[in-house]
Amino acid sequence: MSIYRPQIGTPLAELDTPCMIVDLDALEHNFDVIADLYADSPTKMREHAKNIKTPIILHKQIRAGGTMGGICTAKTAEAEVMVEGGLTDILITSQVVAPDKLARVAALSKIADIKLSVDSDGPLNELSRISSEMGADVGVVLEVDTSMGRGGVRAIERGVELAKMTNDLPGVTFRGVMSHQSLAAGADNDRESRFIEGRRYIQMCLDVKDAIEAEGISVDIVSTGETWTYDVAPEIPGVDEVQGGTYALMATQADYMDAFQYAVKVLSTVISTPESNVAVGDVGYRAMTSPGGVLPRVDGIAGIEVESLGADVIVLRSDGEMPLDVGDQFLLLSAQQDIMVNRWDQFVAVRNGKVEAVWPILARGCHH
Amino acid sequence: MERPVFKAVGTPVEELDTPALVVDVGSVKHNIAEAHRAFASGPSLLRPDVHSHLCPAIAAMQLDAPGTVGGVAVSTVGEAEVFSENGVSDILVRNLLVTKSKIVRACGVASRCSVTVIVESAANANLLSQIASESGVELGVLAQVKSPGGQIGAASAEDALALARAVLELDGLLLKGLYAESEFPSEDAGSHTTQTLLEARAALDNSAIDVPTVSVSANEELFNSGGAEGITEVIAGAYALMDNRHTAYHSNLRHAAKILATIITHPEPEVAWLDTGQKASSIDTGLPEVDGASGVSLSRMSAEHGGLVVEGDAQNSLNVGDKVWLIPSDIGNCVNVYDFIHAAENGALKVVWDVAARGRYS
Repeated sequence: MSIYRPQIGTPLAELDTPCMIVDLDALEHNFDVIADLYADSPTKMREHAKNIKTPIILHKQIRAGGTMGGICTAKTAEAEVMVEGGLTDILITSQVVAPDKLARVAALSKIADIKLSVDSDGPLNELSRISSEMGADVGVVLEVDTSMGRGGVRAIERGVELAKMTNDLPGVTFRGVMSHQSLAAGADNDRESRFIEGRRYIQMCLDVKDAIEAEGISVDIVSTGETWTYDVAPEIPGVDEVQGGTYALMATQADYMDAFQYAVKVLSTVISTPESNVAVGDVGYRAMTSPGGVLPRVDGIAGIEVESLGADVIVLRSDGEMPLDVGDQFLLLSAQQDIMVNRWDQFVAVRNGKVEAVWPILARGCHH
Repeated sequence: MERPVFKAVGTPVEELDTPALVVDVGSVKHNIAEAHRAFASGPSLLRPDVHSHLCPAIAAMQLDAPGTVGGVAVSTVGEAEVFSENGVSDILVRNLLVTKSKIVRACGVASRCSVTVIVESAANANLLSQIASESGVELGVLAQVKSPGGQIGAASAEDALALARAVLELDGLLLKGLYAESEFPSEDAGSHTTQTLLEARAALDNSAIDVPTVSVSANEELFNSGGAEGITEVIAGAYALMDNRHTAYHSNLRHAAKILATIITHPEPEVAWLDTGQKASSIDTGLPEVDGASGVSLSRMSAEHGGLVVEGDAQNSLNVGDKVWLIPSDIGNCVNVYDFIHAAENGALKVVWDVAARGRYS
């Protein structure tokens, strides 16, 4: 049985809760920020689909402008959904190593421009073997570890080796380099600090690019940067594209990125008011998520704190008398939207307090 | 929707596309047999909480076993809709329904099976009564009693009695008894909850109000003892699949559900990363634990990746492409991000079960 889709024009007050909504004015504002900043820049946005999982929303950024025309995905299954949703240029940002999954990547490269992040020779050889057997050609983008301690080569020489190796293999084409950066928790996040940290990390990726080019191998793509460096990256010569994700919907973890507005919110209803300054709402961590114990935030009502989050309930406490009564609705902001979005089946898109569209989250659950 | 490379029945589980939620059917049967035995002979019956697996196939196994009330508990009307459509005939929605649309939907479910809801106020009972009467159905009602440390429910035995009396007066509602929630894990508060519930029951008994049902969500003590005198049903769910949170309390139960993950990069001898992160495991109550791989432990998870610390001999033996098993912290929260459960027997895929009620938050 399929999930209930509210009718277009339904007022917020009539939506069954909990309900994940996307505020279209805020979403379009965020897309316009990118379109304006990158309009005349050689650096362009390659929006990350892992945060959105919904082709129509990614198309909206491409139509608004400021992009290089394509997107990233974290997973192979996500890439399939995006190709089926009309996206034609995709960079898969996680390593893929299983032969059956590499075959999916190669098959996809026959109908779209597919690039895969690679950081070791075993999977690269396997990709080449499978892709050439299938008569396919998969783009290879070398991942460089700049601060995450996760995937990616740790040394420039290793990057050069893999680029050379790619050049000699059938079924694959070397396309460029990529990296992710994280701003350490608790680090200064003012503009100047972000610029200093961001430049340092991005330069590590550019150093690998320079070394590969010095070997006579062309590097078409330098794909790096994210929401917290979206404005740093275009000031660094050589950065072609930025892998932004969080900026579109926003999350309280990134609230220092104040050019962007909160576009995704969860609508909840008060089901109990056990004390004069306490209200219990009908949504919990299953639907909201609480990564690292970080609680959601109440949107737009001053003086109310989220006290705790159970599996299916939220407890709110107010400074004075609780302004919310049983049956009243309130909105919540998520600490980390991409984990949350992955738990829902649709976005209810809202403007001026009414439903304007309902978008199925087609790549929800595409962890593969 | 989840989109794995589907594998044929009989495929060894280690060859499944990852991340995959894999359930060993033999362990589920073992867990159900162990848990239900205590209730088949104990003071209370068991009402399986299907919020812990969201899967009709597992609910059917539970309801086929002895020691149950013959029905299930759910947390939302959406879950009630799914399980009623999958043949469950008795459903307790253990949540307050305060909006008209939600109550109308609950009445829709009540038109095809027995539905019991929770109330904590006469005002809410009035609204339920009005809509049930208009819908031409009868809703069973349990008056919730506030547990020590809890937020929701009648604050005293007197308040519970007054609430029960109010429900008795209303059309479309059938007073079935009392309900309370005990916290997990907290054995002391658990016994206090039972005490509070029994005091409220005594107040109703003394006023000659029939109390066929006294229902309480399980804590470890109530669960392991098959309930308590005066309690008619205990609500519990995690026992079927088990998870890390419950390991310390149920040494007789097996971890039937595990996530199969693949190492996708191994950049340094002591570091490796899995293709499984927060999105595919749900870490709101804690990180999963690595199962059966010595020298390998999970230290952190980002959205898409799981970070392993590799020690000792494992540094030489572990390779990119190797599989690792993870035991989730909170099984209900983990199942909720999957559409499919890969049910296996003797290490081979037997059948794929739908997690039909995943994402039914409203």
